[in-house]
Amino acid sequence: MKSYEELWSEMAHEADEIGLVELPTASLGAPPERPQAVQRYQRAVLNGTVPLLLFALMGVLLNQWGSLALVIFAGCLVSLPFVWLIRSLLPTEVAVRPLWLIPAGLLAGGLAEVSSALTSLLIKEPEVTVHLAVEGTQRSLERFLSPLHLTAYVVVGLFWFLFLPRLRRTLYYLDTKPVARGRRVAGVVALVVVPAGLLAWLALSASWDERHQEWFKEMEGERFASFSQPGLSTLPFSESLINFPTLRLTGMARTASAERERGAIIPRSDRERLGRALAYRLNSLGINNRGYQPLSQLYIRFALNFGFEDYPVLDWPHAGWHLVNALTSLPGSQEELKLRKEELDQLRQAIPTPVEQIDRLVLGLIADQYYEPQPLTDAWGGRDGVRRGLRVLGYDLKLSPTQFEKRFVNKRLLDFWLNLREEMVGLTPEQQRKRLAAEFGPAPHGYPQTLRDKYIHEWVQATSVDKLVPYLETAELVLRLHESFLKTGRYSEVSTDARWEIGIEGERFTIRDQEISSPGNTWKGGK
Amino acid sequence: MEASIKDPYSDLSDWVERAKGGEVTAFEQVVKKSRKLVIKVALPLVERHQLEDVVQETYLKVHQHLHQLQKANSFVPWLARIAVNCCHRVRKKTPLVVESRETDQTVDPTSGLATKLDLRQALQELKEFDRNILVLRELLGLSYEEVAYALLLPVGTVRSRIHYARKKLKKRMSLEE
Repeated sequence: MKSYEELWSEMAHEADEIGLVELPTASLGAPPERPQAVQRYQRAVLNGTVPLLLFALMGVLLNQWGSLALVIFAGCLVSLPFVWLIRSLLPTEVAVRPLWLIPAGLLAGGLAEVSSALTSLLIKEPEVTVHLAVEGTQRSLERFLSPLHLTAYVVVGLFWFLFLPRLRRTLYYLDTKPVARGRRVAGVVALVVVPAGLLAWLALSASWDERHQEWFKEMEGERFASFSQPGLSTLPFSESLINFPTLRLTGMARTASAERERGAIIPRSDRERLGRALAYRLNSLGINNRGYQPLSQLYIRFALNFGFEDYPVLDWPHAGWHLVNALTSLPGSQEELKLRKEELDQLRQAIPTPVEQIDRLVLGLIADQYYEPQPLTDAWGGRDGVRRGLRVLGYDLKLSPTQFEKRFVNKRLLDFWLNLREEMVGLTPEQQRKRLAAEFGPAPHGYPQTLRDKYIHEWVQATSVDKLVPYLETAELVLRLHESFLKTGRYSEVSTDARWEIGIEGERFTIRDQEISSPGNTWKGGK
Repeated sequence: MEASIKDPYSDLSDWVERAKGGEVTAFEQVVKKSRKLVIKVALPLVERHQLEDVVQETYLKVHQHLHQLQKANSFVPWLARIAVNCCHRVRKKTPLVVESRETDQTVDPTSGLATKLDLRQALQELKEFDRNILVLRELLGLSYEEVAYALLLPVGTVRSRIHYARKKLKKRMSLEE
């Protein structure tokens, strides 16, 4: 019996002996030198490029369904380079290894979704564009990692898995091209090294250094104090306007002011609600109402503590006017006059310096308690969206791209503020304001152009609270006039500088303050 | 990838390169030098009278798609791939008829014809997957990598299947000790 090897050898020998009719190869002509378009397409199908592209386009359509056709089109275009890069990471004969294709397809689809989100950005400010890009990335990732999308990818992937052997047999003559080494390196760098490096850099950049820690320590009272007034944050604004008794409203405002003076941080929404309610009540009372004066005092104290910029219903010039107005009626006794003087002193002391005011704003921003400059608030569609964790299959992870980005921006902001702060500490409030204003870049049409300018603009607005000082000085003059009346029974001239024009007619007086712009710079008072 | 059977095909790569460049005479040389290889692939897989069809169809495909062969030294396994697939197509049109060993009493089991017939019969009883692997490995002497390339399979799969296929073939031919 012949061995196994001998049998094969005999068969090979038999094949060598077979003589066939010569092939008329000359009639075929020269072999074509370039592949036709259809052959290029077939090769792209087999080497995995076309399936990856289909995955990516599916991702764009799933993500952008209902968006503008232009956005979808742009998303499809942007997905091409991602597919090109991902393809370089796959084995040459990807078509025979479909299990490679499914995760690569998922990645291509996800990146294409992210890229399509970037195409909808039309804002020119770089910081806001970056911010929106990061937000878009997070939202796209969340959509991509949703059960619906993952199911769609897996179903299409399995379909490809089943369809592939048939296709491969049909196109057996194609020789798939191996990816060039240079392109493979570029793919690894673009898809692995750069994102990993970026994440590492972000993580390192977003950590607080010693200088920041010192500032936090200084601000410790602000940072760690908390305030909670039962029912305050859950109270609907309309209800507080219509139904809340003045007494309860003023009680809440007193508590809030006292807590603030103690160093507590109160959520902006609560402050706004309460401040608006106070201002509305103050305006509706009318100046001759008995309750006007104490409420006016309370409101000003409240507004001084939390910043007048929050309350457009009654902003700081109005508040100052109300303050002086509240003092123009003659006090009934020396004791009442003394109380008013004390109240006025307290108000003057309560006015924060620009540095103190900005410290609060920056701390609040970092502690996520209040204050978010435009247009970030609009861009996020509400403050709640800013620092949410990444949602994967319905579960929230602790970290997310937006959180990283927010920490990075916060650190840059704090660095900027600490540098500026070093220069401002030791200056008078007026000098501090001027120094701050000097940082404000050119603002065509009156609007700040960069995010940095927007922050400074907000700070300038917030620090303008000490523009209330002239009103307090006028209020002090009024009290001096009242003091002279209580001593002598009539108003008499008091020594002032040329800033004020005082007119006295028996038991009545008129004051016009030239430092304050008209209208709203004249008060009449007396018995 | 290097072709493992150097002797008959050693200068094939040069001719392939020239044929890819559009030289008619180079293509004729490619056909002339590689023709035996196609016959070796086809002989155990199709009927004798179908060999002509397989060879013609194979070289027609080679002529059409030679330009997209990436590396000239991959020509042998690439040609084997095309030949295997052409055999498959021809067999689909006219299935191979191999008489059962139990009913064929006219052939002397000790003769050479009987053993060759037995080898063909035993090959037909294997799965197509295993049959193709064995033909390329045993008859053409391709390396594992070349067989994997020719049959579009992972190398690991080729390594594991070839052992199994050999054992099965020997068992069919009662050659197993």
